[in-house]
Amino acid sequence: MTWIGQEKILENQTLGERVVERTHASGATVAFCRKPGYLRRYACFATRFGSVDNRYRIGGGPEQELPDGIAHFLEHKMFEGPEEDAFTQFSRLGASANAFTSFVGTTYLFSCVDQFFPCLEHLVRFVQQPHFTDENVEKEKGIIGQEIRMYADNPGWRVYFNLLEGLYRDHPVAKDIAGTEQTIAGITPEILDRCWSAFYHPSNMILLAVADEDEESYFEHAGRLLAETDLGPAPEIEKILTPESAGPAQTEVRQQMQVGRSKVLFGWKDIHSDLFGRELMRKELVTELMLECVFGQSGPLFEQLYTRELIDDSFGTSYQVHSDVGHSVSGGDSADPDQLITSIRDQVGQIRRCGIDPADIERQRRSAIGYLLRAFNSLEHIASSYCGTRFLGADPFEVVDLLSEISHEEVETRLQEHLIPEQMSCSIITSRS
Amino acid sequence: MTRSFSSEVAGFDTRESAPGATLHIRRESRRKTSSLRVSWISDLGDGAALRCLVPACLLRGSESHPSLREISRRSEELWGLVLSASVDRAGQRHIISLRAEFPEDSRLPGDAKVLGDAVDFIREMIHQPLLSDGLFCSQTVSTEVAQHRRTIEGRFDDKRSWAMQRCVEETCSGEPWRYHEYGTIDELELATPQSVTTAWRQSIEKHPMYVHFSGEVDPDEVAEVLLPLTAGRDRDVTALAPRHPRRGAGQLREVEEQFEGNQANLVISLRTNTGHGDPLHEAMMIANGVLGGFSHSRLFSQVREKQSLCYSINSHIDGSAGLMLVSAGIDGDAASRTRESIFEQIDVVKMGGFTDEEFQMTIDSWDSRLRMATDSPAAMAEFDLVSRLVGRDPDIDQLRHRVAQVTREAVVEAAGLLQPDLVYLLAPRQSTDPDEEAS
Repeated sequence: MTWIGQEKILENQTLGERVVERTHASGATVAFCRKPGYLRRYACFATRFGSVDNRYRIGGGPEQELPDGIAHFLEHKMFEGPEEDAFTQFSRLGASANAFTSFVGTTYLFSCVDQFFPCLEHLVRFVQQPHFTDENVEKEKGIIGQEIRMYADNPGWRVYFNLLEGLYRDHPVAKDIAGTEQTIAGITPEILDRCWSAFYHPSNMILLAVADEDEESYFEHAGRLLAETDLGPAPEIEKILTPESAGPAQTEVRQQMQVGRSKVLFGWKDIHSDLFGRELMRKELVTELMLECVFGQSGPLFEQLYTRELIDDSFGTSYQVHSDVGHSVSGGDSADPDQLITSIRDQVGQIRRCGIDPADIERQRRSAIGYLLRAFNSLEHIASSYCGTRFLGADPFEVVDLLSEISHEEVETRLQEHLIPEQMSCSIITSRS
Repeated sequence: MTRSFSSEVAGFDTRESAPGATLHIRRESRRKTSSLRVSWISDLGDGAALRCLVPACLLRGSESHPSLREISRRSEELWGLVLSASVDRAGQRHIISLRAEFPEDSRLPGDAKVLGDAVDFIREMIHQPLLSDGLFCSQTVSTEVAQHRRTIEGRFDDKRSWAMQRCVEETCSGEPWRYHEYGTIDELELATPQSVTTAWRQSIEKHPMYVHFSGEVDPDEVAEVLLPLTAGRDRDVTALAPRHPRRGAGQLREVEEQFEGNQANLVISLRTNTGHGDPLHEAMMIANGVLGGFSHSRLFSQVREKQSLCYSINSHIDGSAGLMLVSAGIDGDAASRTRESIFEQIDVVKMGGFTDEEFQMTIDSWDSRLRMATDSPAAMAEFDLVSRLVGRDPDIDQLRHRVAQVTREAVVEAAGLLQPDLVYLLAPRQSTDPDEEAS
């Protein structure tokens, strides 16, 4: 038996998209979204193993603690093969391949025009055939060391991770995804093997294609490929969460670098260990509508701060959910970070006293439909939206229904409970000179 | 493998709409949004900073929507229409553009329609900006000068891109390729409401203008809708400077600069002695691909994967300037070893020491890259516009055909034309700890 249970259809008329989802006998979630007329074909194989997964136990066994940066290191090493690296075969097939590690997952992907099924075969096989040796693990430390240094010189990256350090006391979300040169120094083939065995079991993974291909052929190929490697029964993984208390760790984090423009980010922290699926998605959407009303270009703050030259068009806002925690982030480049912080503190307080105009929410709702139509042109967006929402236990298309359901009161309540000074931290990068 | 070069997707249908202004329209029914790009062209160099202020000031207010906030509200009402300004370069030409994307009428709920209103909104932004006594408001100009100044200063924050630009500046002194599209701060300081208003009028009335549109609409019908965008054109279209000749390299030079940071950026410039329109240009594209354009390329497989010298390394060519740039983020102490290793790989390509498989993978990867671009209206508009500006045939299938015909021998011949010109190193001033805690 290749497939377990009933096939699920996730679809939305407004977006004109449909995803068919099945569960493979190996436990893998396999999904397909057809994009008629697109020449480019895209597929990804993603595991729920990201940088925040630093403690776990299997089947009630002893707790395992992992070094910071292990998920990202494993991502690099999966491309290693006994004869050649995985990129070479993709190139032979005229495809381009990549991978990325986020806080909550690791995704391997390719895009191609021709030879989609041979590429799919290669994707599934290389992710299921690790090849770790002392020599190739040591070699990777030099490469990742340079990656870490590259990000250390990137002020946009630094200002964001400094904000996370300001917001979180204990939660691993505050750690850089690649770790540090010190934390990766102790990584060995044995640790990588242990992580791969625990987190790369098909039952912890999603295989998704977004392509103009025949749906049945896709499921037939995917079913066969996933049956090739028997990785045994699914391990009972228990991810151990690190409890995080309310309130930011620091109200302000400052760093000096040689930069052309100073940078500031403001963050408001959230803990939602009891929220999953649709409810978590609703919270995310309500928060994003609220943030657009407060910080967006049509809101009361943006033009005023822009004409005072405190911000520029890099100023933006978003809400980010990472497992059991989340945070709102606003900010960008600023000519006068301290003045900007003072203005934001004062004016957010004033906006909370005045509330949000219902007409603003209606405009944002309409604008959000346009945003979604735009976003669902992109194969990558469909894939990241699908995998991201499935990791949270939600449906990627529910966003459209939720958007029409959200009330003015909900947005107003969110403003009052979330954008409060007690949950806020700032990160500032200024020039050394 | 037999390859077909017939069009898989519709190309642009081009028509002249006014003196020096052309509409480029393609029917695109695969997507949920229409995309529009309006571009004005001039020569890089003098006046670049001033021209950068034009789209920035246009987006600050129009007669009906006299503030940034009002413009944003109108964009939201138009189903989240995204409107942005961009400043780019293609060879020695300077491109300022307004870009917009908005939903297809057929995708909107009920009887809602947006195309006509969206184009009219953009027309007003271009032709009826908020003026005071016929000039951009002094407050608007002064804010945009300050904002653009910071944009120029902020170029340093992307170290890799900064190192590449510095390498080009040092390599191409006296050539137009050295100019950055943002212009200079000195020039910016001279901007006034009068000079920005004059630059705006010159752009919309006299500079060569291109309008690119992709959407699910009949090209003839949409041409009528787009026509007002090119209204008010002067018969006297500004002539662009003749193409600047490409140069060869002199004695290999070295420049080192320092900054406070962790990772060094090494950039090597080589003269290609070929470019757009030359018989060996596509062979040079493949030579570059074998060397450093893809993940199977020699710089990635040898310098990064075998020698573990870097995380990021690649090469690219500029077919207008006749330049190849090789760039790597490295440990400062490994600069000479990396440089040596890069030159070894260049020699391998020059000597034809690459495998048939590497050659074929590069041809195939280029073909995939070009075909993938046809899924993106923005990439199609970019390819069409840049082709017209640099003297390349704007038919993407023709380029695919020329790439497929490149032979191994031609790649070796093209690589033989490469002449190293300058080695640029942006090195950390002192070793700082990348894990240094912020306080």
